[in-house]
Amino acid sequence: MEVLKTVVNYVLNLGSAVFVPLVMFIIAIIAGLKLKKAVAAALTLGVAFSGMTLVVNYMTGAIAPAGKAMSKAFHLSLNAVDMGWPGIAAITWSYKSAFLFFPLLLGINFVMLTFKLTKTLNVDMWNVWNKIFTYVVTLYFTKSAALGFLVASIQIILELKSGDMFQRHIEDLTGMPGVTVPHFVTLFAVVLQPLNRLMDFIPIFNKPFDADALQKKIGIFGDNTVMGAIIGVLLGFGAGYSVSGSLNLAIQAATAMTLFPMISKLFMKALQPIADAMSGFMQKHFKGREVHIGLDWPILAGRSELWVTVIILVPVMLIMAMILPHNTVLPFAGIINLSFVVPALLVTGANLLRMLVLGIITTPVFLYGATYFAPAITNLGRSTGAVKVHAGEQLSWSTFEGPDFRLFFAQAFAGKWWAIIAAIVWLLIFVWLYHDQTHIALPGQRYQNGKVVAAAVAGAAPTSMSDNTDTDDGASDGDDDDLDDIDGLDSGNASASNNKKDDKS
Amino acid sequence: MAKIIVACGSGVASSEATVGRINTFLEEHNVKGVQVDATDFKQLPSVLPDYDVYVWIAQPNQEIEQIAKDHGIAVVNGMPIFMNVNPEKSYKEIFRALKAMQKK
Repeated sequence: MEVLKTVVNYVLNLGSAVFVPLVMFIIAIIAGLKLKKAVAAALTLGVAFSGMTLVVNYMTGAIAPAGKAMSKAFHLSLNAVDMGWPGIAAITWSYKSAFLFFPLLLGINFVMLTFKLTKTLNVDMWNVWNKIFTYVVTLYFTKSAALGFLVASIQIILELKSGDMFQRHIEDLTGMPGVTVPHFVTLFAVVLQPLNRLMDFIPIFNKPFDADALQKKIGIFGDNTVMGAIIGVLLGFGAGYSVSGSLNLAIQAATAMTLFPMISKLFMKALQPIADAMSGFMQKHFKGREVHIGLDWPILAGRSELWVTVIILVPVMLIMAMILPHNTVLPFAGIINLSFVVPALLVTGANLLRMLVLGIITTPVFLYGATYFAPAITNLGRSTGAVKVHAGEQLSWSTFEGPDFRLFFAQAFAGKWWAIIAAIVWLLIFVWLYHDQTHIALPGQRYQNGKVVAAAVAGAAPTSMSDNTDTDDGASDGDDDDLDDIDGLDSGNASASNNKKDDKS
Repeated sequence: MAKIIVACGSGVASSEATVGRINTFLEEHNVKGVQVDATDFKQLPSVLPDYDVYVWIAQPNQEIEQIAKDHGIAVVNGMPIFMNVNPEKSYKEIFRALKAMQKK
């Protein structure tokens, strides 16, 4: 018994960059992966952790002193560095019980599908991390692992219901049938719902608006590197740095912004074989059933409204961070507010003007959410040992996902009376939202002559798992080719049609 | 060298997952000389011209369609791969695009 305890303790104390890949390796072997692939996946995960540690520490080293200097000059208290979702996801995946959330998600979805409580089959295993993160946050406030699992479970159920209610709107917005987005961020629609309904009474918010032209003009500012450099140079001047100091900070900030997604990719690469095995299992089990397949939000990213809104909100967020009293978060890596724009796109039916106004109104919600949760995030960063946090500094995420849900439900289970009331009100608005979204006209027909059309519902047709989801426009049938003919194809010498820069051919 | 690109919101999760599956498929069929990359939608218009095949998981807008047309880039619906429902359909289109390149 003593020996076992020693072994377990030894393994747990290896540190997350070793421990989690080890767990990953064991799960990969159990899932039936080949040894070579299992080793590669486990090592990639370890590399992803260490790489993220490098970038976060580099970023903190560059940004934190500037934030401090600027705070001093303007009498602010911006001591929390914004790691954005890539940073938060990284330290969340390094959490010791992270892998338990795969079976939790699968189990709840399985039960709800079996009893026909949902039509959504969530195959998005990447976003398991935001359930783990909810668990961590709840654990921080309640000190109870059981309550952590409970709140994460509530989140999973609500996400699936959200997938159900938005499916027909997603089909209308993207032209793709049978898919939906049961992503945690969509639950922020609860906060947007009352505001969005108020806008129904104002004619200017009921007109369609062309976002395509605008996207072309401001698209350059959305480039990670460019945005990092701009924020860096502004921060440098704000901190009272010299011109050369500010320009150096601009390059450092651009470096961090550019490297973040590169490292995040490694997480996906490492987790994908396992995620595929899990979602494949679910899909096989519900073959023949009519389901909506739940995917990550980027299937909505073809909408220009989404990009125009987030880019315009960047300066809004920076200014508000400066002027909001008691805000501690200096927006940086998380400044693209995906936590807002995805639910806003869905709830307004891609109405650009509504999205912009809602975005400006709710920016303080995210900043104060980030301020509120900064101690919990800092604690997580310290306990996993994933990142260095100096005294007087904090870690946070300026566009904290679902600050409303996480605050109310975590604190309600911690026994705070105000949070219990807020959580109940939140659930009631969710029911109202669900009713509205299942009855309101599709985005394409919703806004006519300055009025909102609350039109009839033609039941959405779910995909049959056995059937082909015919999203193809018929341009090619593919019947003339046998896929096995591809065997051994070597494109190494193919004359690329447009590789002007590539001289290899 | 044939180059395939997949795009999603941050060029991290969805696109990388799709890239992983395409790579596995190419590996299983012993296809050589194909490079598959992931990017995000904001950068797509500037990097797309360097590629031969665009596999989409969010429907391309006019700007993207125009770039693809101007540079002779094959546009393939990657949703079947991303959803993991009848992915053969997308693979066939990718195969056809790769074969067309060989003839030139």
